[in-house]
Amino acid sequence: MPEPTEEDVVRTALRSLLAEAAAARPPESPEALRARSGRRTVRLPDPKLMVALVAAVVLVVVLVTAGALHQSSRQPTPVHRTGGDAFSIRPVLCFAAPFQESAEPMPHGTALPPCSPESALTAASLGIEPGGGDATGYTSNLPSAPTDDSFASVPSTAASQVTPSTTVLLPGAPGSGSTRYVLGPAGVTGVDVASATVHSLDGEWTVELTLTPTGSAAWDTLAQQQFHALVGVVLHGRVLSAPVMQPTQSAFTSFDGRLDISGSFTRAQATAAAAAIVGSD
Amino acid sequence: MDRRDGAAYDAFYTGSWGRLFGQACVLTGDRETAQDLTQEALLRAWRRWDRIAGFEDPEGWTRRVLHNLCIESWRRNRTRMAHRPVEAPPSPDVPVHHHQLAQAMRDLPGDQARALLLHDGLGMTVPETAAELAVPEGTVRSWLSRSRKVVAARITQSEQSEQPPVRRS
Repeated sequence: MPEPTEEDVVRTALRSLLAEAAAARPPESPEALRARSGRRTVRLPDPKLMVALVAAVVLVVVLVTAGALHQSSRQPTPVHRTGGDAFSIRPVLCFAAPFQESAEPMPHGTALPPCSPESALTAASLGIEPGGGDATGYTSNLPSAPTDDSFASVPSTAASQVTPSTTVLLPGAPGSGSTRYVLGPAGVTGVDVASATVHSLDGEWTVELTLTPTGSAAWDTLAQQQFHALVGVVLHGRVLSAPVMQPTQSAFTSFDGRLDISGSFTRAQATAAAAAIVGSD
Repeated sequence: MDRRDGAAYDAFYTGSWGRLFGQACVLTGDRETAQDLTQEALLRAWRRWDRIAGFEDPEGWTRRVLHNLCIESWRRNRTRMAHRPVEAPPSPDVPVHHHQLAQAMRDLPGDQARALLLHDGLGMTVPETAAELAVPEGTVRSWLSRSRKVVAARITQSEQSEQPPVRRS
């Protein structure tokens, strides 16, 4: 009988503990937990955090007041911004192979070839099923989704060439691996973003976007069109994250003009991303 | 007005509780702490339910919060241990090899323990594990092989000291 490998030993031990614990019963009903959620025990955070909190509250108050003033004036939206072009949210059409330096590059300015039918990422091809899939709350064909190799000869679209109306071929965030993404025209761009704030959700730095009324409608249109498929969040010619739209739901629901981007950011990266998204970089 | 969907949350709570609790047991080695932290993570999920229910994956979000809570709890314990170098006795309802496993996990750096739990425990792929921990896939692979060695040695050692060795012919 062959010696079990280290991986076998560890896996067996972990799974036996997990299986045994999974049979335990929760100490309280979900209703009881929800009932006590209103009674927060307030622990005062350290003074630096308090200053940040107060600043955040002031900012929110300013934004809300500005929003209310704007609503009451009923004027068409004048958008004063300097940039924000670096940011867009787009449908992900397919995964593309890394660019092979040795390949004969396509002549500059040639339109991108289409994704092959086999590699197209659609709700149908991804086969998202809410429920199940222990770790994620849904099952899908995503892990086995094919990469379109015909793009190996196509260089990525330069950040300066990424315009809202065109289809683009872009790499992921630095350090995210070699997969590239073919993305359709933008559904949401920087002008749709009313504000971008940075939060730490329990150690994970997240950029929270609040969209303008027009942006909110555009985001819902894109998200609904891509329901159970992927959208790509693009900044400076890279795909920061490419989430599946509402994979644990059986029907689309509105995002109400809100959007969290959590793409494994450090605090500094999240802050820079928030600034770039609203065009103040 | 509370726009959170209580019924959806309750189904999520009931469906995911055992899995989350199991992961907390692996990372803390103590059922009471594991239970407290599981409740804390699920409470945080409810407080933000309006935002996390629709976007991506609520159990994944809760799992990340829970793992961070577990690893924070070790750091606090480590500081305490520095003053009082006494190993807590295993709780009576945790079998010895489970205790050894949890002890070995706690001796790993936090991210390496999480990587091992996600990949070997939950069966996530290397790319999925890398995405969850926000590190390159190569890093995950080297963490896995390094931390497996440590944990496997610990478990094998405890099994040998528990029972007389059995030779198979």
